[in-house]
Amino acid sequence: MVKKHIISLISCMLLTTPTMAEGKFHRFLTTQSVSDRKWFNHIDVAGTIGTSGLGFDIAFPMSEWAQLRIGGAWMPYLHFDPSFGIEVAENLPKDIQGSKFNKIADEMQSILGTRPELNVKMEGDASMSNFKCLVDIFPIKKNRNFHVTVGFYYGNTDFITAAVSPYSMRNMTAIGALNSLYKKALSDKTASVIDAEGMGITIPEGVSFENTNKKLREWGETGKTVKNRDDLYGKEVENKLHSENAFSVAIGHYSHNIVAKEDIYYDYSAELDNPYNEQIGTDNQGNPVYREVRYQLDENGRPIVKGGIRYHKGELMHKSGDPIRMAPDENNQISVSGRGWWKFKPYIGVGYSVPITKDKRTTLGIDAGITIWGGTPAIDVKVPLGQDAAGNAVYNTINLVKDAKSMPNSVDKYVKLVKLLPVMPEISIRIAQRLW
Amino acid sequence: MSKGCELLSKGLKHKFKGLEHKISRGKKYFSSRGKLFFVKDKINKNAIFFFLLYFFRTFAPQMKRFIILTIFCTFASLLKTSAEKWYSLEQPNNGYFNHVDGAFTAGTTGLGFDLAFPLKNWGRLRVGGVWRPRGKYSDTYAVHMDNPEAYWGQFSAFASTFVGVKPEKYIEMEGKSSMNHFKMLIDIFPIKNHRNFHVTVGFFWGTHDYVTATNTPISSNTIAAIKTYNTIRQKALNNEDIDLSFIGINMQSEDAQEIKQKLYNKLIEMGEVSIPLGEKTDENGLTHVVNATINDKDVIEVKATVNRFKPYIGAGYEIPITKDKRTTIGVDAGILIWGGKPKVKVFEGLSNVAGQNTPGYLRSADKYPVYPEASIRISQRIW
Repeated sequence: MVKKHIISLISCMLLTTPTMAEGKFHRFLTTQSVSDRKWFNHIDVAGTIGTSGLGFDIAFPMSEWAQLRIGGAWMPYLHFDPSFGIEVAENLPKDIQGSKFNKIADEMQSILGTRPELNVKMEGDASMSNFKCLVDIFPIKKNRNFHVTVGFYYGNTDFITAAVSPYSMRNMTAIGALNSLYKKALSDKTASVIDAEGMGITIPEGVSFENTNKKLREWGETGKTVKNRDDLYGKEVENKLHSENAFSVAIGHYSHNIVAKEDIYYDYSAELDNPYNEQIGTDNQGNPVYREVRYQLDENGRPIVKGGIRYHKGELMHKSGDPIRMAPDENNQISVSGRGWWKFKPYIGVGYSVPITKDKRTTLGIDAGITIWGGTPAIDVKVPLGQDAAGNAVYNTINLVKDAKSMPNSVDKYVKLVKLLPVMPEISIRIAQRLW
Repeated sequence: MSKGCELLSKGLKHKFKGLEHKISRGKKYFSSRGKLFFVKDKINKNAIFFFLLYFFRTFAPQMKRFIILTIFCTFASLLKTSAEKWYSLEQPNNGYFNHVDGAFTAGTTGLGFDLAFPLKNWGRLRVGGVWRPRGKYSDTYAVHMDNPEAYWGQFSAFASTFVGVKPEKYIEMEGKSSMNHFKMLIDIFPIKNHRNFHVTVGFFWGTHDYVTATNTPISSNTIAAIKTYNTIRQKALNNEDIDLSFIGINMQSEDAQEIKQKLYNKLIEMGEVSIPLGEKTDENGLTHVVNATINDKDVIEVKATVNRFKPYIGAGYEIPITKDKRTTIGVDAGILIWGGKPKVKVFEGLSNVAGQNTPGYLRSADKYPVYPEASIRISQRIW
């Protein structure tokens, strides 16, 4: 409907323009005399307001039929605050997750001084600033009301940044702390999760952390079990499957299969030999899927799982429909960022302007067109995957616009909006004043 | 002799009459071209020029006074006016709301717009909104510990265990200031038949928290570490029990009690960790350090608040910029009265404030009971 109205309005303007120039509206509508317009012999300044924000430009005539406009447009900060739920382990019913988290939260309160909650609020800003250089061409002879515009905008590509709100950071630090304890317990079944040595405390001899670590590992138990072929003892062992993180931030589901772009390791910092294959599940045909695990032997000759290749290059990492889980990074942060593709954005459009003062030195105009910015922008989140061979954290960048579905409503509405913008529509109102 | 004199005087009179005639014709000629003011204004311009020259030479080192005097002189010279002057404004018909002007404004309270309606020939009502884009500042405050050389590493190990990240030696604060106001002003034209100069009274209504500063999300880790550390240390000082059953440690066991006692002794030995903001002198003349308060959401927060209703008083000057006098440009200057001093709880009465980049208006906000408003206004007659 709206499209129809716009098209009919533009066609009316186009059709009526030449006739009006001859008719009784002639005096009112025609802009200043055309013949005196030569290369840079006038200057107009203008303020603009539109979809690309507030702006200004300086316009110079180039000839009788063209005008150059140079200026800037700046979109003030738009504030938005998406929020996400915190997920405990993987594939657990919501009520079990809730009761598990509440129990931990109650107990943590006595240590942290504050009680963490099951949600994370983020704060985001969207802003764009562009330099613009446009040429207005007046296609109708001796009529300067209607113009066709070509030119370009040049400006930032990263137009959305979002981070966890300071008011929600207590939840992030809590789950960050718990994840860090959980990971220590997961990688070593008996070592102390408390850095007592660092604190200058000696642990009494014979103290075992086995129970502590077992309890910590329970946080990330998924409820699924898997049979591991244990090469060392030559028998199959049934193990409970553990999540990568005990606590993660849920952000929707993958809309298609995601494969690894490179080899991704996990906990590879230790010196490891003795590879063996651990079954991590089954593929679509029901065949077992293995991953390589490297381990060390403890003093009793039992294997301590330390790390290995998480995903080989080209391996399926996330199946379509799997939940997308973000975990706090090394700063207990998660981040969401939005980016366009091109800094240099060609513009094409049309415009119409009328004088609003008797001396015709002040004009009011409307411009409509499109800015081509290289396709639908991306909204990226970073999903932790493990470590690279040098021990640095590796993240997989997921583009919510392409790779995600069924997101929380507070995120989905922005993703839906971005999906509508393969090109940036530009509609602006322009008030210009002749300087000389 | 007398006849001769009479003849001579008649001749002269005749000549003078001719001259007067020429002058009046000249006047008409010039004024009909709308250029007479150039001739007339030459005197004024020269006067202004010499005034400026004199004041520039006298007051150049005191630029503030110079600027004030310049503005005063310009206004004074322009005040003496008649309807013919290029800078005089149209006199509206003697009625209410019989015209509408739309205007854009830019100034210290932000970008704005207003609609103006005449109130007979003595005044004008202006209604609009003004919005100041967000100003930002960031500042750092050092984390304090009595003996960091000996204990920072141990504090860091504590934080890694209980918060999962290493603390930083400072916290970063980020402040945002914003002002959004609805405004309703009445311009009064005190000089008869002269609409260039106006006195303005009215009010702005809007923003309550005009500055909000919080720590950055990254600094939240350090703050969580400090809070956790101080919470457990307080338990140590009170010799309260600590519950670590959620990580599977049975605190009733002898081993656990031994580790707990060692940890408690260590925490008491290490001393409190704090974030000093500044110093305060109490009624006894003793100076003590004021530390940042971490609120129940684990955030350090600074807020400057003012009344929503802010009376305005000021003056302005306006001239046309088009020949038809429908477009005008004006300047306005005045003060917004906060209606009481801004309240900035955190920094109130503090000296030697630790952060170097915290803006003066926040550090000593209580010294500014008014907000200066200066703005430029471009207006267009709509009908």
